[in-house]
Amino acid sequence: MSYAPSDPVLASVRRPVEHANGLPNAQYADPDVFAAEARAVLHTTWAGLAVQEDVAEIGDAKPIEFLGIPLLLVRDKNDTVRVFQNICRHRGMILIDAPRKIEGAIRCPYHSWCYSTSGKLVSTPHVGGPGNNKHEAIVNDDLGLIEVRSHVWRNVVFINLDGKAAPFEEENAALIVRWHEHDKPLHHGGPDSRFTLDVACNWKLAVENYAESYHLPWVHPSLNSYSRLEDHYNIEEPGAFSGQGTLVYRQLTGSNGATFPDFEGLSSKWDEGAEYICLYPNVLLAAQREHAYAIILEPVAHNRTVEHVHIYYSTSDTDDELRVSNTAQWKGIFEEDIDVVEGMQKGRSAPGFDGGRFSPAMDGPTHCFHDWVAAHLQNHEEK
Amino acid sequence: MTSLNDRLLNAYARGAHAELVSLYSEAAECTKDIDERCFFFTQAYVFALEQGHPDKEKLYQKLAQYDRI
Repeated sequence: MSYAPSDPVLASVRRPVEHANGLPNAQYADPDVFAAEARAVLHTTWAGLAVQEDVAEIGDAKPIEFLGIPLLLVRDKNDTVRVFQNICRHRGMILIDAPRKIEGAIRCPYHSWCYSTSGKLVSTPHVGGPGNNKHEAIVNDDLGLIEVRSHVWRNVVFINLDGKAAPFEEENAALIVRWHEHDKPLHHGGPDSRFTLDVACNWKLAVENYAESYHLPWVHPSLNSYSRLEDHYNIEEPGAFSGQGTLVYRQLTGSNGATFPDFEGLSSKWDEGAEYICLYPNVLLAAQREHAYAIILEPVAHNRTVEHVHIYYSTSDTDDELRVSNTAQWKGIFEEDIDVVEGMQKGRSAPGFDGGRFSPAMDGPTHCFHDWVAAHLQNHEEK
Repeated sequence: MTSLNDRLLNAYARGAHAELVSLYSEAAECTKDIDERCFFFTQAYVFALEQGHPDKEKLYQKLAQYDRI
């Protein structure tokens, strides 16, 4: 399915927020539209796939299926994180079916063609007949693993499946500049600082819910006791990202008064300020004075999203008890959002729903995202 | 060879790929037929590559000697 640039439904989404409607039901409730939208929106941009800690050590390899595409995340022998299509160039066999360390080469389990961790085809056993490992028709340099364009920023591994997006730093220059003070080493909190939430909603609803602060007093009343609605501001960068900021960020404090150490060199703006931004299409980020997090939304189906949450600190040496409390606090907050995103997903089966109308004052960040999606749908021509 | 064959099958069953390097090397040394030797050296070489085994260069040279790689 593709839209003509003049399609009236998309045109209504792209009107100013005061007059716009949200994206139509089909973008959430129709599996065929999900697939078409993925090609227009998730293949053509820099989508979040994983975090570099998923392959923490040299030689680590992790198979990941993304939008039905078998991919392989690898940290090569030069300590570079790479993404390949997880298939042998011979018969298309899946190369690696579970996370493991590559001691030497990646060996296909079918006919044992071997690849280096940087993707080079290094051995084609018996390809010229038994005991003969070469054939003039098989040129190793032409048959390396198919690499997917990737880029690591704030420890998140982003991929551009169609290979045609502008360079990551160019595409996301506005956020890189906005958060330049936070360009510091991020230390993953480890196994107790990662969790997943399997949610019965379209991935876009998770973005939309994260983008706005409008729901905070109703869905997160515990936050409202100190982080009132009026202490938040909207963040909108058309074509790139949106979200919300707070002016009253309060650090988590342990029973003994301990806090996490701050990131060094931040200006006073961040003493009580924090920002929560959706980096389009599918990565939700937080910048705060003493810890950060990244949520990678894995779009599994039109009505199912797995949220991969990773929490980061300014140092690898943090208090165990405080860190566990912090994970529990965020997990509780994110779980409070599940009912509403799943409720909105169910609502997209109501034929009378027209995408909804936005609060011009409060829903700007959501509309900013809808406008971005609609622009990609308009610009994408199905091949 | 029966004994060697059993040891090979046992190593496969245990997923002991590092052992396969030495077992296939041993099999190669047991025959004078060049094609058969190269077959076994190839098997050994592939598992050496996979394991990052120290014998991989030596096995490469064996196959190169017969212009098989």
